[in-house]
Amino acid sequence: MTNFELWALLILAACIHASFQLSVSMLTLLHGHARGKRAITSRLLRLNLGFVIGAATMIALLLAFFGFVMNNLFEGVVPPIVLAAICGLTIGVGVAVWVFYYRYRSRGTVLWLPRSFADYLASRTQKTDYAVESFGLGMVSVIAEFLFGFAPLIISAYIILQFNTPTQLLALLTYTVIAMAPLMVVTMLLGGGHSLARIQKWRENNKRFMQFAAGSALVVLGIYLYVSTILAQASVIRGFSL
Amino acid sequence: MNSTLIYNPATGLRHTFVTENLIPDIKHACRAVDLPDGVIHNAIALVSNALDNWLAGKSEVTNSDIRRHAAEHLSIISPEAGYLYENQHAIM
Repeated sequence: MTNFELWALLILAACIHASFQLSVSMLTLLHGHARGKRAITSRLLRLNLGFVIGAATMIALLLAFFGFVMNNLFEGVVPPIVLAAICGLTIGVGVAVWVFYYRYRSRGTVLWLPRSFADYLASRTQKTDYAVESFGLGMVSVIAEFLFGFAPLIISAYIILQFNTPTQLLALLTYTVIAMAPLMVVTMLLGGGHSLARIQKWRENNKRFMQFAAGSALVVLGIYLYVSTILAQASVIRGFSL
Repeated sequence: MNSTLIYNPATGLRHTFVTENLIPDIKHACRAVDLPDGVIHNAIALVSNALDNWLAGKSEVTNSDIRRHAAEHLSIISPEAGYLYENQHAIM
């Protein structure tokens, strides 16, 4: 794959990660609860920023972890069978996003999470009073969505390994910044005085589109990677050029 | 207080409706959209009265009926607070 293709795939994977909504839901709840307690603007900002930085740290750590494991396990060259499994998983996760990312026939933006777990996260969000706690909450939000988030993360880790070392760091930062974009935008909007209700309404009105876009993009990403790596290698072995 | 029962379809249990139980959620929704305390006080009074009138003569309703009806009346004072109140438990 060319450098251009690698960057395009990395950006697509980061956009898919950005379209996942659990962190945004938790940030919305966190802001709503802090406002409910009549927190002053500077404290609201500290809580929101703590959350965003926590989520960004966890994404960067997970991506670096996957990259490290892949590099050490396969010494930089991922075997085709593993790549095929990753592509299959990505397509599977894409279909899962289509089918059950948002709960069927539920109002609002109720996600796939088991209700007891969602209630626990909501109660933790309600009890968060300090920036350090919201930092931890941000990290947890990424882990809680790992079931869907691992697909773009693992593909990005594979892509990042194709770059040289200084570019790997830049790619990791790029992925993290793009994946964090919705949280940053929501934080800026809330900080700028936009209403929580309007943001939530927008999310509710566009949830099916976001779900369809994320699922489709994952399927496309999985198929593209499969064709451009596995099939291309197979064609070279058989003497064809793809 | 009135004698209307709240039916929970998930558990099949019934309990008596108490208007005071709604107050924390209404307050929370109003504060989340930055309404002043005086307006919140009025909103609580309006919603409580409206619910008491609506429930008069009804023997059994569900939690969602009450939330929907309360949100409808809260929306008269602040549509955003009404929306947030109705969707408080449907964000995540």
